Amino acid sequence: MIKVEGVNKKFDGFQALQDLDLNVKKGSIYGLVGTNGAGKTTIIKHVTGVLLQDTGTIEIEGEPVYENIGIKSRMGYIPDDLFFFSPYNIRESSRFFKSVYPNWNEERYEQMVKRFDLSEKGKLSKFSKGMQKQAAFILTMSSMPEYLILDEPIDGLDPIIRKLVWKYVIEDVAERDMTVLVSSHNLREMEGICDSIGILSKGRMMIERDLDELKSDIHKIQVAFESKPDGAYQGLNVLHQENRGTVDLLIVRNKREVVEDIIKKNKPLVFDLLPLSLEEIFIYELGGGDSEIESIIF
Amino acid sequence: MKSKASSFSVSLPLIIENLKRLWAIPALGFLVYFFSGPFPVIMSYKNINFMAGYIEMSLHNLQPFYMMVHLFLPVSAAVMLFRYLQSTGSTAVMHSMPFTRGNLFTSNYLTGLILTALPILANGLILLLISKPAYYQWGYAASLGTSAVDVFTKMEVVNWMGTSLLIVAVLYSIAVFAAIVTGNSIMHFLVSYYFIFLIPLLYVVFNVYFQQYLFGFDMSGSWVERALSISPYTGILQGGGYFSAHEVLFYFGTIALMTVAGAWLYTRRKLERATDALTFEFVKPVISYVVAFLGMTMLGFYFLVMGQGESYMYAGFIAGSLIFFIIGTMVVEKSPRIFNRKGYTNFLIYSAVAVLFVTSLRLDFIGFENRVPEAESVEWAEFYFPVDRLSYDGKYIEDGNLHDPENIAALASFHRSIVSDKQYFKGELAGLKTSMFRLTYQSTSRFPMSRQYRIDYESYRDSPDLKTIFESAEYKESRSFFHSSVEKYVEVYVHSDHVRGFNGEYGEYADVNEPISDQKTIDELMALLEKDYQAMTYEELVSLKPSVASIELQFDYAKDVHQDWASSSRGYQYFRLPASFANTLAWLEERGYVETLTADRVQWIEINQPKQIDYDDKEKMTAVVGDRPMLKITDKDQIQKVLDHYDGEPINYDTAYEIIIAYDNEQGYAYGYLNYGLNFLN
Repeated sequence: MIKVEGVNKKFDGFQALQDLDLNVKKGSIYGLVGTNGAGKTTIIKHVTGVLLQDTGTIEIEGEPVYENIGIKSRMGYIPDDLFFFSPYNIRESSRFFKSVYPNWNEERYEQMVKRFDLSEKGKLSKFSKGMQKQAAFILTMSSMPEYLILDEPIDGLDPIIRKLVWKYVIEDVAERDMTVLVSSHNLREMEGICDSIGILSKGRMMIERDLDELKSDIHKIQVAFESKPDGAYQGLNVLHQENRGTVDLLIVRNKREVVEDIIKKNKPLVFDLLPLSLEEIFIYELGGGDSEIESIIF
Repeated sequence: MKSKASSFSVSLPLIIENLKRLWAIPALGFLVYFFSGPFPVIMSYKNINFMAGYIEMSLHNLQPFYMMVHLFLPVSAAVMLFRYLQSTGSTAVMHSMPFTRGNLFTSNYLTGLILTALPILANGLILLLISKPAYYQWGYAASLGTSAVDVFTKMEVVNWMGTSLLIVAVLYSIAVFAAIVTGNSIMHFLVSYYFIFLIPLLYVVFNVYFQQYLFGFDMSGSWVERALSISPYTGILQGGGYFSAHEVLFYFGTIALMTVAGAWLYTRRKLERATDALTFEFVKPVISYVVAFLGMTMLGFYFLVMGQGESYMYAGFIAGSLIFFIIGTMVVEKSPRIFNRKGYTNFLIYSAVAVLFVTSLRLDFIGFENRVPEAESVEWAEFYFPVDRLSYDGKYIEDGNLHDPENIAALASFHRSIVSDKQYFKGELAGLKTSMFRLTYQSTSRFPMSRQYRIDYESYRDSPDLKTIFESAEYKESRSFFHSSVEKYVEVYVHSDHVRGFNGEYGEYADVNEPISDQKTIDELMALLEKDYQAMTYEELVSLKPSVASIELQFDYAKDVHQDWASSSRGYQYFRLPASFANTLAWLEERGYVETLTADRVQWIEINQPKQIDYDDKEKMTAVVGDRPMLKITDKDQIQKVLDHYDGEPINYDTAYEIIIAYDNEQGYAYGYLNYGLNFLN
């Protein structure tokens, strides 16, 4: 697992990371969300061993990452700002990756190149940004990483390629127990893929949760009573309440059974328990007033 | 799981990858080396002596194309190899790969060494294969066998390879160090050359200041050699193609220092500073302050030349400091936003240091000007006086220094007399005949102490200390014609200054005598020369009386001297024969080699007002003749008086009377000065 504890980092007086904790379970996909400048790329560069934190610890499987060749050889990293040796095509790059990464899988490389339909002869520096992302993805995935770190991975990719990328990622997580840390500034994108979510704001971890747990504990309900008794919602842990005529709309954080027991006890005329999107969960979870959160969601 | 890369202290895959992608750098370097070196030699291979000068120039690294490649190849290699450090994407990718920073540094560093060494090694191998004797003839060589040098030996090629490798290795290690402290490729390129030439450049600048402010500062001393030797690139120029053992050690030390410092800084480099101008704070003042200092110097001395006096120079200092501090700071901060508290503070610090520097020189805080060593503490002293018999031809003396305590004491005493009268010597000495005097003292415990002064003629003519030195046995022996360095004299040419029948123009050579090559005759002549020289007084040595003839002496070096340090087996001396060499002159006159100028040969002498003749303008000078002389003498008695009194040079150009002597029916002219007025004519 990836474990980040109490990490601080300053850039020329600017506090980029502040007492940051982050935990990625083995075999999970962790979505790191935040606005531009929140510190996503900075913490990713620490996790990949590029930068050294001022204080705190960053460990993978209990070992510090920084200057750790053993860990780095099992890690794949696709940055937002891609880099290839300028005169190289993807075939030449693959030879370099093959010589550097011990788990290189040539068969997978051949198969992925065909699947993504990329030219092996064209110079990578002449590729479009989307094609460069695909090339980086092929090279990284062919090195068979146990830890995959993706920084804004699907920017510039069309929907079909996006789907293909996520397919490979999910397959490897399922088949090889690969651990994935993926950053994005878009919550909607993360919802369908991630097991856990961490929201960063101004270098701090605002919230870090398991997505299923989060979803199972927060509910949107519509309730109408013939005559609403006093204290009808007592014990529900209401995060948000709206009144639409005779119908009340509530967002509550509690176990489904507890919610049903409390509401049904007063014999409602209408009682609907609706699913929440990740966006809605974070709006209500964090009070909705935080402009940082709003900008992530909307 | 063990990583492939961790098996090596350097990453072989990375080195191989670097070599594969950057092969064009050594290929280009090789082509320039080849087409400017071996190729023209091969073209003239049958007549290789014709190319000897070019071969020597190339193998001594004085050939411009070689020096151009030496300069650009290592820096280009470093810029290309470490370019990944200069952008955020490449930095992140390379450092996330299974390498430590140490792996990356050593692998890229070694790749660069290979890239820069390959073209030199390949070119060197070709030169070794085609090397064959190529004789470069120089000096007054009479025959090829004795005075020509084979410049295309295998040893010379190996020396070229060694010196070239050392040059590029030093420059490369500096460029790698620059890569670590800079944040973008343009700055990397510029800072590399900045560091490469910083020390020699600062040396020049400090010399300018010391010369301006410190009376006696010796610019031509061993400091020059040391400063040039700091960089092998300039060191090879002053070393004539060779490095001394000390220099080689120093350059290896430089490589080690730059490499260790670069590696150490790499591990501490903040990678997030990629794209910044500089990545370490400590480098910023090194650049901004030095740029300000160089700008201050440039404008200050420019104003001094253009303006009138020191106040202009100080105005230039202020303007230069301000302008170049702003430029330097903007460059290192990569921003025009420098007008803030930090910027003002830095400028105040710089200004304080600059004021302290200039004031300390102006007031001579360290007591440089008055320092004269105690004679007892001096092991030996070296001196350069223009009145030395061997001012120009002293190469055959390996050690002509003063060791005699009495002479060292006399030299220190002369030095003290200059210092005690420094206000006079610091003046412009306008119009006076002056000469540069250079003194160096070597004590057992310190670096050599050198001073250089411009002294007017009468001051050194009348010095009892110089008389002591120049008439001492030590001095006479070291300048003896029969010095131990000389095996034997083999040929003598005598040129009379006023040879009869010569009707050449002013300044042309009256070369009508046959050379003397009979050994017995030469030995006879040399014995007389030596006798006259040993009897010569200091007053005769410094006399401005015109010489009678000049003598060129060709000799063979003593065998051990030739083997030890002389570049050829044949040596050469030139000597102007003064009128005081009575024995020699009588011998030469008797055999018709020399004709003295006597009144009966002279038709007339014109005496001109001081400064009337412009010797720089030949036409104007001719126009003056017979046009505006203040006096024209035709009386033989008067003519003889002038011939007895006139000098070859003016002591004071403002007061000396210039004379033109027409002789041999106006076919010959002689020129001179009457330095002590015309009263003797009465």
